[in-house]
Amino acid sequence: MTFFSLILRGLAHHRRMHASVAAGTLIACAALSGALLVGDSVDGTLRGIAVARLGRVTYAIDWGHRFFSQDLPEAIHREEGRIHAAAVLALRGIAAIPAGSNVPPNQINQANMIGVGSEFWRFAEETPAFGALGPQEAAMNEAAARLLGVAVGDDIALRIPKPGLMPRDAPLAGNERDASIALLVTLKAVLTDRQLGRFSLAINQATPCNVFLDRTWLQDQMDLAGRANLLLADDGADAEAIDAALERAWTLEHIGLAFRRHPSGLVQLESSRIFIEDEIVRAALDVPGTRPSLTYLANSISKDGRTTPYSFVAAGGVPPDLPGDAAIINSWLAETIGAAAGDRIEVAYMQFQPDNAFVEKRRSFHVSKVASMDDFAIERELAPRFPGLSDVENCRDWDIGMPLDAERLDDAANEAYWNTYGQTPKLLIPFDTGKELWGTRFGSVMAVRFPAAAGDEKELERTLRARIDEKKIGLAFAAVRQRALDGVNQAMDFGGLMAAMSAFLIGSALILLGLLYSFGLQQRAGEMGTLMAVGYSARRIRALFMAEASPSALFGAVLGAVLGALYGMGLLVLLVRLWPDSMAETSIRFHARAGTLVESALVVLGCTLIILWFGVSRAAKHPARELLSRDYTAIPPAASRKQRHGQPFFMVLCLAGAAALGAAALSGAIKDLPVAFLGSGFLLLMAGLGGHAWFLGYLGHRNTFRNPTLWKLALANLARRRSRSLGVAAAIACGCFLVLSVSAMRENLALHAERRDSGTGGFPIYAETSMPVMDGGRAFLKGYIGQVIPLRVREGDDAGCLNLNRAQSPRLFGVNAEVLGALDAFADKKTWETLLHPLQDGQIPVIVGDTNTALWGLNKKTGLEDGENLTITDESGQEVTLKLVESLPMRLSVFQGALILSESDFTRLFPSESGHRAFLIETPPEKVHETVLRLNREYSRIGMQATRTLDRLEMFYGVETAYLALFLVLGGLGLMLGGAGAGIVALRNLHERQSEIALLHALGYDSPVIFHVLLVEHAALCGTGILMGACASAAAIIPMILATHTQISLYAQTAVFGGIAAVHAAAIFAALHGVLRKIRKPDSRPEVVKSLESS
Amino acid sequence: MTENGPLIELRDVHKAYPAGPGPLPVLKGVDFTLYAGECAAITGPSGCGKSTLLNLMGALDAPTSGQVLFRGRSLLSLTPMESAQFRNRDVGFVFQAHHLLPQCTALENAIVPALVHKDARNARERAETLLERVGLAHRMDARPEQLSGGERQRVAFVRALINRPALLLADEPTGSLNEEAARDMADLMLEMQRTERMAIVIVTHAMPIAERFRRVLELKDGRLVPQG
Repeated sequence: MTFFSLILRGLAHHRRMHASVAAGTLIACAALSGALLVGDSVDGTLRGIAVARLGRVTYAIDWGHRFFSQDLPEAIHREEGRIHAAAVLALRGIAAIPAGSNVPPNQINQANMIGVGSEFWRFAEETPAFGALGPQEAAMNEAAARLLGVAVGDDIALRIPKPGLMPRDAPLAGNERDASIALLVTLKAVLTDRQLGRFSLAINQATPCNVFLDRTWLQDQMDLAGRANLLLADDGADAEAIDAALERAWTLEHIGLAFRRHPSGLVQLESSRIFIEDEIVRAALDVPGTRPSLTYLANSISKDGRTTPYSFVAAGGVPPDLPGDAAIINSWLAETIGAAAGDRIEVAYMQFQPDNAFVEKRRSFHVSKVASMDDFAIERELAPRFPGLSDVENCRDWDIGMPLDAERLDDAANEAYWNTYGQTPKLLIPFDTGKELWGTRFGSVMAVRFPAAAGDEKELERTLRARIDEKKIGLAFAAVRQRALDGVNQAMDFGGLMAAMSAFLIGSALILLGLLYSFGLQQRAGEMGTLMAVGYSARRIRALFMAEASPSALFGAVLGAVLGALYGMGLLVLLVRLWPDSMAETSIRFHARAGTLVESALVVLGCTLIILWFGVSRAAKHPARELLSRDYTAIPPAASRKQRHGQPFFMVLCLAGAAALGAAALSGAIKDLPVAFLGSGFLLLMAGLGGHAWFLGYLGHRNTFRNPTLWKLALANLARRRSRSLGVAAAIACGCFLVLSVSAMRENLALHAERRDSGTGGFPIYAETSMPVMDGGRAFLKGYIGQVIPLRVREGDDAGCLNLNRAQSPRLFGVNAEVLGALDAFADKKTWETLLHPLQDGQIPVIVGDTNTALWGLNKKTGLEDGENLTITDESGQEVTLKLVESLPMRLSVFQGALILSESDFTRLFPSESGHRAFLIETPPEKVHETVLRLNREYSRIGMQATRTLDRLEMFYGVETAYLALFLVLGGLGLMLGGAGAGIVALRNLHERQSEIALLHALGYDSPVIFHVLLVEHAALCGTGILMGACASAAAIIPMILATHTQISLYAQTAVFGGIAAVHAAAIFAALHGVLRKIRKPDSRPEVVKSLESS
Repeated sequence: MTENGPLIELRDVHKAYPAGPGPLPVLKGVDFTLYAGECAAITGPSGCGKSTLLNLMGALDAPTSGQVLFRGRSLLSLTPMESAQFRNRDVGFVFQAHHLLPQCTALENAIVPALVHKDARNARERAETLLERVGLAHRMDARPEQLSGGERQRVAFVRALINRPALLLADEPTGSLNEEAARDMADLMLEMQRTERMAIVIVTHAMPIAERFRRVLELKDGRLVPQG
């Protein structure tokens, strides 16, 4: 016999006790490892998706609406042979089933049109069999083909907004603002993920709808021959090497810049985008003698009633010392309006407004000189070439994207001038004056003129390339693979979320384990007392009992970790089933890390051992004589008598804390209301439990009842084993509080949807279009009753709940803050005004789409003072700091997952994002459905997708609902374990009191009376827990509802409450019924006698 | 303390238990002295505090006031570890309820106190000897539930003697036995007391058993009163 064999004997003899330890550990460990494996699976799946959508693409330059030469990749490869690079023309458009097709009509509004060459497929894990695409051929990824319902060989109609080299919003940009090109292609192949079918740079697990086309053919259709806007590179070289190769490889021609040499020796730098970017202008103006130039079309030039319409004015090209209001006019103009040097002339022009409108303005100039037409020849020869203007024969054919008056256009003299002198400006003014009048967000320099002394074109190219910081024009590779992996690494911790949701289940299992083990210890009290009496120290006894229980705990933890894998798979199935449709299509594959299993086993094993240690230590604290009495739990340890005095203090402290937290939340000092109110409710719960402990203490130490009744004695029984009663009540109360509070977060979104301060902003319809709408929707939405708020959209990562990755560069909405502020839509005027106040250091104020986006999607603080920053890249490639100054105050809004900035900031940062692509539309409630159908039907050509705002909110809310439902399932499992615990406590109580029950029976009490007395006692035990949990939950929920205008479903709450009560009632009833059945039997006399004898 | 001094000595020992509005006094100034190798029986009605007195002598409980000295050293001054060592080496306990470990055989139960010293081999030999002496040579491998009440009590007795204690404290050791078994148990205790040269304090309410011990004291109104 050794200490070890004593342990083994105990392990074998008390196998039931140890089995309960193993079972409790197993349940807890399975729940934890299963939850964490869900996290592993989501993480693994996202990682897989990130790799699948990029293939071998590691670096990328995304120029969006700007275009570079498709020769650039080749130039880079020449500089660094290890790098494989490819140019892509990436556009967005609509893919549809063509009319007359056998396939049912269908349309994808947000399809990616990806023009690729054969070199693109080298990025794929598996090269598609077709080799290369030809004209009018397309390949689609599986998701797009499935969504559209097409197969190889089917025809597909595509409609793609025709991108201009010049931003479509820009004045003189040409009037094909709504131009889109319709194409008919045949589906040649359906691509798998391995064939790069999922290709996308967006950090999102949702499968994009990709249509791959032949790049050359697409360029031709879009009038973008040789141009691309996306440059991809593999990992052939590291970041430093690829940057160096790019720096050596790029030329001015690659980025759309060209020199034009004038016979006079002057060299002019021009851009295919008309306007030259600031960084290039800055670099160019560093060359001595260089002058910028800007050309604009004036509505008229007049003097004393004599006027000439539509005349070009060139800013620049005058002596630098000329005053701001001075002008040099050509002899034709002088003659036509009768002006001479010294006269004042008036120029009328259209001023471009931030909202793309034009307002006619006037400005007078002092004529400093009249120059001959020959002197102006250089201006004609170097005039910028405007699309829709430079290449037409008559003034009447001008198509310049500015409102033109047909009457003014019909001017014979001007027509004659156009025929003779073409684009020759009639007026030259100082550049700074022109910039002041006609500079726009698109730029203010159309050409830079270098003096002959500055060198030839080659020399100038070298000079400029040396001076231009290519990063400032966005010519820099982004490590897209790293960004994608960052998005996964920083994504919401699903394992943590699921573990938090399972916390109550895990807690319940551990509490049940603790309960069963402590019951076992009570049975072994005599054993413990004997060991103590024969000289075993408390430490040795603890060691003995722990050594005995540890193998069971270890076995439970190991088996639990293994079974947790199965449980995790079940959770995944449940999660995907509960997710809204938009996310459910992401098939989450099961991934299990051995580390997760080991970690969860260790954590649960640790918790179990702590619980066991606590139980053994608590028992071993009792002196041997108490342990030998075999009922030590009915004897309160000395410490707890002291604790009783601390309970009122604890209660008051918790009450004060709850009140303070609630007050802080209501006063607005705490922004996160749900957390504040739930915290306050939890403190109330703690106060209630403190009060309950005090009451049980009071019952335990009370004097004789003045009028004792069976019911009072039944209640007094609760105080016999105070900690057991308190433990059960606390477990039930906590479970009830959690389940009720969390289930109350289920909102009825429809109830306040019409209010301006709701997540709909009071707008019943939200619409998005694939094609930009240039007039703010005024024309096409004519006839719809109510207000239409157009929104500018910059595509980016979805930072909402629908994206499982962490958004790196969120989607942006440009809004008219004054209009929304005046309506108090979504938020009050003050909130919207924060967008209009410039911040220090050039930071841009932005509002987060809703509180859920701030809290979960971005996980960033908002506030004018302490709001966090987010860095994004603007259109020109410059890094811009966005400051999160506010968030819309509701949990869910139609702007979920996005950031909102003022329209002026938006257009400044992204001048090429032409027009509006989202709309908030008002219409009478009875016409909402009809209007949605009508919009989608009538404007399918521009890819309009109108939805009820409520449906949009419901879609976002689907994620939250899924998590709530999952929590309720897990909470329900926890409550069932809690119910089982309550039943076990009841059984144990009854078992210990069999002699007492037998005595009552012997004294003549009939079974129903005994049953009712015991029922009262145990119902009080559970009822107290449920009541405390429910009251604390109500105290947390009601102020939250009042403060956030949340509407909960009373029906659902009542159902949840009823469910909790029913589970516990059933458990207790079953336990009572089982024990008392013996006594109720007519032949129960031997049981009674036995029980009485054992007492 | 010298070899000639008292083995155990109680000086003005008081003990009260918390009950209701105030403490309930059980012992009200007990004085008692016992020398090595002496025997004493304490009698008294049920609930008079006999077991409490025994618990105080065995350091299973502490007095409310007064001194309990073992070989001149106050038991109150012992640390919990020293107290456990004291119970293991110097004292042997026999309870009315035998309190055998259900998972262990008779022999193993007898050895349990010796495991503290990690001296199982010697303990086993001694336990076998003692079990033979108490007539349980053939029952060594039996588990408690396979033993009769008298046999269990004898195993508990052997367990109490395994570490050669100087003092054996027996709390109603014959309480659950029939008359014959009780008499045999008393004989056994006295025989072992002689051979093992230990002191015995036995608490019993059975006068025929008590009278077989040299000193008989009655616990009356919280004080020990010599009998006869």
